[in-house]
Amino acid sequence: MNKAFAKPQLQSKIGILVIFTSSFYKVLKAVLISFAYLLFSSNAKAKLYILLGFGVVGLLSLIYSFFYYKKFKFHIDYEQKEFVLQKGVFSTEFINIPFDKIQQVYFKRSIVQRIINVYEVAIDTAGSSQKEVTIKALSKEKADALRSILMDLAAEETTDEIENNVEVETDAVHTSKSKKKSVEWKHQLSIFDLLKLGLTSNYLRGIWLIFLFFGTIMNELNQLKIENTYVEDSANYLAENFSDSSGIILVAFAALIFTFLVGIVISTIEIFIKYFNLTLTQTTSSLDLEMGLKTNTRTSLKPRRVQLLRLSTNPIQKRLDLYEAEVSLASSADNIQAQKGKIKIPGLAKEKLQKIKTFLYNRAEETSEAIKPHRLLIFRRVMLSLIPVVIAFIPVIIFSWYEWQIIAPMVLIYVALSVFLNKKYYDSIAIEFTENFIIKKQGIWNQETEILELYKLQSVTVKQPLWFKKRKLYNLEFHTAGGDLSFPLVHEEVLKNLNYSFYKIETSTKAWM
Amino acid sequence: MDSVESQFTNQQINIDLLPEHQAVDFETISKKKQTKSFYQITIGLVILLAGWAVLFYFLPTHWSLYLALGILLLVFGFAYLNASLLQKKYGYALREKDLIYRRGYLITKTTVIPFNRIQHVSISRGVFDKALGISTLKIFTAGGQGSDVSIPGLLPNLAVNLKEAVAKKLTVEEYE
Repeated sequence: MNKAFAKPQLQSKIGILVIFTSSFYKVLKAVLISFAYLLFSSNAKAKLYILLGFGVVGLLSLIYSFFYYKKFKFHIDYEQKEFVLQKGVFSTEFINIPFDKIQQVYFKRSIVQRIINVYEVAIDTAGSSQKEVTIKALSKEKADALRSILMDLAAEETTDEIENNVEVETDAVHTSKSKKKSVEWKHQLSIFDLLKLGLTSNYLRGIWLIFLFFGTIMNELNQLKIENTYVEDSANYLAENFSDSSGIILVAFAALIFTFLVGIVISTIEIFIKYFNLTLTQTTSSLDLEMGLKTNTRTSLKPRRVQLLRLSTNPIQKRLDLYEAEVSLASSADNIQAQKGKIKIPGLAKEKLQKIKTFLYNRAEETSEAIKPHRLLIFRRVMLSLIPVVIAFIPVIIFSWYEWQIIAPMVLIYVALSVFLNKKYYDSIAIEFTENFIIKKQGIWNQETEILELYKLQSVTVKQPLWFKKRKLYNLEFHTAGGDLSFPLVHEEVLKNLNYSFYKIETSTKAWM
Repeated sequence: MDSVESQFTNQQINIDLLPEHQAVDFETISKKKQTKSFYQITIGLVILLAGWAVLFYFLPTHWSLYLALGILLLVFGFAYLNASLLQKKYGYALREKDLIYRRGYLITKTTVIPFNRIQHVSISRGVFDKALGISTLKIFTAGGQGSDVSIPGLLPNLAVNLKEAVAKKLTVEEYE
């Protein structure tokens, strides 16, 4: 028995520290409020008790971590063809993952893990019942070895065609990297690239994050019953100095610009944290991705696992030759986890994007006649956009604030803007049914292209609202293991393309995952 | 691969000549599904009416109580109507290579699931199902919630037969 990892083994010793910090952090998060109380209260006795409490909790977590470490064992059972993990301080839990259920093996590194130089190995499974399994602390060599062995075993178990992995099993520990991975091309993001990306990305997200942030802070402050004098003071100040309508507009405008600027800064910071040091490497059999400042993740993508590909860019990024690819992998069924199966690779040049496409699909690009939805879509979307206006109007009417001079032009501008944007959106949306793909395009500013390979389809739902029966209009929804793709308001005639999709699925014998 | 498929052919495919999923005849489900929905709605109605009666007895008479009763009756009236309208729309069809299931009145949804994409099939029977003698057939795919389908109101034998038919197709697909 020379095979690696055949015997149950522990993590790196220093891993106790990782377990300790993560469990202590969890406890700390739960009692954050009392910690805040400690800061603000003047009661010395209470402070002492709370500090003492923290000490005890810390000690208990340390003891717990030690036993957790001792009980946490894993090994590869080559005979049963599965990865076995046992853990649990009070009751022992066995987790068995058959090789063919292994979707992905990747690394994560939090700051603590990076300081003490260990790797967290995460094993993603296909089953809907099991969540991903993680081993918190392994040395670099072990982590690398474990990943390559598991990935190879998984590939061996699931593919019919034998990929060119020659006797990796026996001596993978020593020569895992150099031997079989011939790098075809590489994609790296420099600091400058990240800056470009941050400045040109979608600020709305940054702005949204600000709102969330202030929302939670205000909430916490309110709970602690701390007088928030700043807000009241500034409200008073505004009421005194800018009470006429032009003043209000000026203040609103200034606030808008300020939020916008902060939004840019936040988006940029977020991009730096998420995509710092992004490296994408294509080898003969997979795409390897590594990125992140806070938590460094490493993933390896195989074409078979990819269910949906979304490419996006916006006019500015297009000019700078920056495209983003988002790959949806088969994820465990529940929707909460759906986000996890998605991997974003930003800042790709067009030529790199092309290379990814060829690698994933191994086919030339196909196009066909673009099918548009019915024009009613514009009407429907404008109507939907009016709902908030109508709701906003209810108090206006009830409390009879008839300031028509201000309200009427604002509503008019809103409606005009809505019509204009939705017309633009309508112009952008289209679907193509080609020989092997379904391709959906949409987006005014952020232009997206979604590509779905026909044999990756799981099922299709056709929806017809009662009120579109006469017009023979249908909404389409394509289900894949990596999420849904939907398209609105197509005419009955388009449905015959679905017959072709079914034909393609039902005659395909390729493994979709 | 069996022998027929190994003889290589590569005919042109005319989309217009492919079998149409829109043109199938749907099988209806048992009327008992409607009865089941009526029972469920009635139980809800009785509980809420009892709650209303308690309020009516203990609180001073106020117009809002009558308004509440009116809304309650309206909502449940709509629920009954909805259940009877839904009944007509339930339908399923088996083709050689896929299963088609239709439901929904206000928004009619038709889902087509190819057999070679079905993960597993199961039959479930709740309390009402047992009392009325019907079953629900559940079909799971890897496509998430939107893609999974459960066909209610099937007679138990039929449900078992359907399940077996589908399961058989699954195994055939696998060994091909």
